[in-house]
Amino acid sequence: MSVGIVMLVHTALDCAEQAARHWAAGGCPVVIHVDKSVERATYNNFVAVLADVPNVEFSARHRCEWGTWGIVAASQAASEQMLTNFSFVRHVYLASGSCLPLRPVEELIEYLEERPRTDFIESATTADVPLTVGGLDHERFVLRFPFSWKKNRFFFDKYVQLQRFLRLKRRIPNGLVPHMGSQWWCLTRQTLSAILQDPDRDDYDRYFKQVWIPDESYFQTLARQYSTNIESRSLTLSKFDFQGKPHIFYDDHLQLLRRSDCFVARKIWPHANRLYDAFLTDTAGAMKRTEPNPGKIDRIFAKAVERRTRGRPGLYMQSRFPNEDWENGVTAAPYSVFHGFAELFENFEPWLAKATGSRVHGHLFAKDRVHYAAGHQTIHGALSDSAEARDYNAGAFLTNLIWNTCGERQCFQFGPDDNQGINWRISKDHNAQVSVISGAWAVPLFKSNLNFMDIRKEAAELQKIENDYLKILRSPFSKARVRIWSMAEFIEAPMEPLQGILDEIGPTQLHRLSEVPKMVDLSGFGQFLQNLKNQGMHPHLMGDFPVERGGDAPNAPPRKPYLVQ
Amino acid sequence: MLLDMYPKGRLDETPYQPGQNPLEIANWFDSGNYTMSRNKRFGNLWIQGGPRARMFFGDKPEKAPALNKIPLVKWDRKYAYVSSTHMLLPRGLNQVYDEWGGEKASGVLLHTKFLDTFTAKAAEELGRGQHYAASVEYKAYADSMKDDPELWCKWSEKYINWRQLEILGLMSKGNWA
Repeated sequence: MSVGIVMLVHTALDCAEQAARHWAAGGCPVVIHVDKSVERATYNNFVAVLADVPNVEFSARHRCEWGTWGIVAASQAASEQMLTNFSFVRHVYLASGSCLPLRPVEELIEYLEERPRTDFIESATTADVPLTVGGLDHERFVLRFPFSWKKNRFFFDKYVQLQRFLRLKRRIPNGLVPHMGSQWWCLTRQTLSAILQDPDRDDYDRYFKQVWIPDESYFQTLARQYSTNIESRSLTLSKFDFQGKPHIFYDDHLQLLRRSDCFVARKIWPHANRLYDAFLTDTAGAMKRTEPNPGKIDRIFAKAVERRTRGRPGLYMQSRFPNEDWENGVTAAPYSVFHGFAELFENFEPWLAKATGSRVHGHLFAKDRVHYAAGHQTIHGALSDSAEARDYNAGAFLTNLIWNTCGERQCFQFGPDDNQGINWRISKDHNAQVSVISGAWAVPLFKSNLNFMDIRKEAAELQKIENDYLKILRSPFSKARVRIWSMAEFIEAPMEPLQGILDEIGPTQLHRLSEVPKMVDLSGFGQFLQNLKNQGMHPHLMGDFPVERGGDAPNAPPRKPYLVQ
Repeated sequence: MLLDMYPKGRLDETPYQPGQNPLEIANWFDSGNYTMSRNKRFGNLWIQGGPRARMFFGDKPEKAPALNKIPLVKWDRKYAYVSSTHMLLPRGLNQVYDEWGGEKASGVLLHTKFLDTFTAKAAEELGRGQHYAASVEYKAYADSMKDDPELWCKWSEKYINWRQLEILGLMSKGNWA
């Protein structure tokens, strides 16, 4: 008992020749179908070259255009010839000229010997599995396709539209349930001959001649009628890219293919000489006798599809420049923005760095320069601290910073005095954790030594900017994790919000807050705000500050019981 | 994309010998300070950044040289380069990047201009005055390079191989597996 190889060839005849010799040398008869569009002289030459190999035959030629009946007709003719002329064949393996056997032929023969009744054919109903990449799934069985998709795309599309409009539907003969799957199968003599000698075959053929891509459904559907034991998978390893085109294997896939333990792979690049040399010559390098295990290859190719369609979140580069809101993640990693904290607490930055272990920068978007942590002048990725360079493309500055420092959480201070061009980007970024103490910009003014009229002007300006900023953060398009407290609300009970923020930053942070950042002395702040009001500038973002209230809040002992240590 | 390579230390520290692999000397690069924007007219990306933008154009980043390049084109006589190899016509040829979040395959041109020969070269080019925007680029070089010709900084990355560039996000395998 043996395996017969039906080989469909349309190009790269020299590779097909090598493969055919290999199969024949392994004891498998080969029936080759050469596409009719191959020139007569080339064909004759090909036949002559293989004349010295016994058990290689050529079948009647059909024209095989992609997606048409010709491929099925070719498979039928070659299979019939195989079953008639080689009576010792039990399994028929459909392969193409660009298929390459990865394991010694004997192993395939043995493998199939152990499974004499099994048909290996991928076959799934269209209703349940979305196999197709775009295009038609169930409709390919109920519409007619007289026009070539490759040559007459216009008429192809129009005719489909017309049939949809007129609601034309074809009857599927004999209640066949359409199945689809990889066109590369391996069927037993019993099943295959039952399909080919079916009394209704003419009906079926007539029906499938008008089906779209019948080579992926003819045998797949009919095998379901006769087979006693279908293994719905293809023994041929073939991968498809994001557009549904087959991946082509090159020389550098050698190790990957070796480890796959699959019997046959396609498509192989015709000039991948190393692959042909490696797999067609050395039987000594035989692999262990195991089940095909394409898991690793699957993962690598799935990753390629993922990379091509989704990309690496937060990366902007020469071949990935997503339109706004199509980024699949604005930035690469979570980060925290603190608004008003550095103003309210004297030692907020060192405290935060100590409490969370993250990198805490100053005002990254300050007007004078980029205030990196520890006063650095450049940082990861050789980002400079030039304010001009940053403001030239503030969005790219942020995404670059987060991309470059991946693995270390970044925190930075932000305020109404900084470059505001970045606000929407932060607001729409689900990686951003934004904590705002609104109105805290007034503290530096309160502490400053400016003339009151300048303070008033500055305060009005900052309040307006911050108000716009808050609107952006509260917009329905905001995806960031936003927390906003008014200043009055915050100093009422500063520990709870701080604890909440820290818990979110570092899940590893097991301890409760033991050390509290030192709040600036606010005595007289209420009066300061009242003075602004008296000047006609109503500061509303900091909440209600009684005129008398001042610095007692920060020094008061924390009230929550768990905070007492 | 063009990736500027430079040596560690002063440019004139290690003299370049004819026939030598320039990457033996200039084997450092900036990994993550590139900015890009879309050229609305031609559809290409305009990439700036790297050591030249960092050292010479810190205060006028818009003048920094363009690093986007499409040097490998299956040519047709209908095609034309518009400005050096930065952009092409017809515009579809400039669509070498994905706009919906995916990555297309791309490579990097290692640019080894920054050797000990550079200072002399910059002076020469300035004399010829054949370059873009009245050789503003070369003026900036000539000014900065006189006193301290060092491009290397603490965060420079040492070149290992293309996989490193891929991990850093400077190029991509795209659909390849």
